[in-house]
Amino acid sequence: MKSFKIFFIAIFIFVSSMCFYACKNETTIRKIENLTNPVATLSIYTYDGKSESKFGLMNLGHSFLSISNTSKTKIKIGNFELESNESVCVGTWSIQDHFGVWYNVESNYIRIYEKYLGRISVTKYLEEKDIETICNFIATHDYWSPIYNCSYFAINLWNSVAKESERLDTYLIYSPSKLSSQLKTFKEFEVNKSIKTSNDFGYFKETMYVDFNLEGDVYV
Amino acid sequence: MYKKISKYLIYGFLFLLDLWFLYSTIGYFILGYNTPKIYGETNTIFMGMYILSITFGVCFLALTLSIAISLIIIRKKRKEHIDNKICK
Repeated sequence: MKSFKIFFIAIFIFVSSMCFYACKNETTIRKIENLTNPVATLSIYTYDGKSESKFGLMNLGHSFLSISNTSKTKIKIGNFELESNESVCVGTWSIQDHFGVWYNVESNYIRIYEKYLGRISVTKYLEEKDIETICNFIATHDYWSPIYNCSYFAINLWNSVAKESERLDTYLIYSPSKLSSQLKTFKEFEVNKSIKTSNDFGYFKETMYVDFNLEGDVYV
Repeated sequence: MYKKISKYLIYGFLFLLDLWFLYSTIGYFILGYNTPKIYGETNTIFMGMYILSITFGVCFLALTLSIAISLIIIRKKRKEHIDNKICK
């Protein structure tokens, strides 16, 4: 009788906590601040995985960033040299060859497979000093683990250059779906924003760029 | 009576959870296998789905072992209980 009661109390607590979590709304309203002298733009993207979940197997989604050079000179993102009017995608991945920061994986993945449908993004402006902050952040966060995952990298890189009204909440365990609900609190959020692509993607082995191609890429 | 029902409910729930772990282990492995391959100087693969598959696989093994051990202990206790009754 006692274990029967305990079992039902445990089920009741579990169901009510799930209901509470589902009903909880994001109430903070965030906004992007304008800059007088922007040299680049930083976009944060998150895809909650819903459109790619199938057969009851949940797709956990992905979060990443893209940086566009809007100035007339070259800028350096990590070790990646970004020409004027060009963009680069930056995100952390658990790829067998390198668990850490990869460049242009997402833009290629979207171009070839039309994936991440329903991705949410927000774009902010960057000053020259922000570029240096980003480079330092990339240099010290070139790793991936289930705790220090793609969302951890994207949120913390964004926060490292964000103004007070643009800051995102941090968690103990980061996930793209949590980030998705946060990005929707920005007035400026966009859905399925296109990303300029570069034909090769890869990572830096110290200072050397190791480039790769995806299966099914017509440019291979 | 209640004890028996709660036991069946708990074991039924754990058994279903175990089946779901097994389904996820195999499912994520297949998804990992079907993820596009990466070609370069050295060919490589996306590990995300395989990591999920391994995680669910470990959960499946741990739960299966726990269920098996608890069933063995319960059976042993029941046998001892019946033996004691017969002896009396």
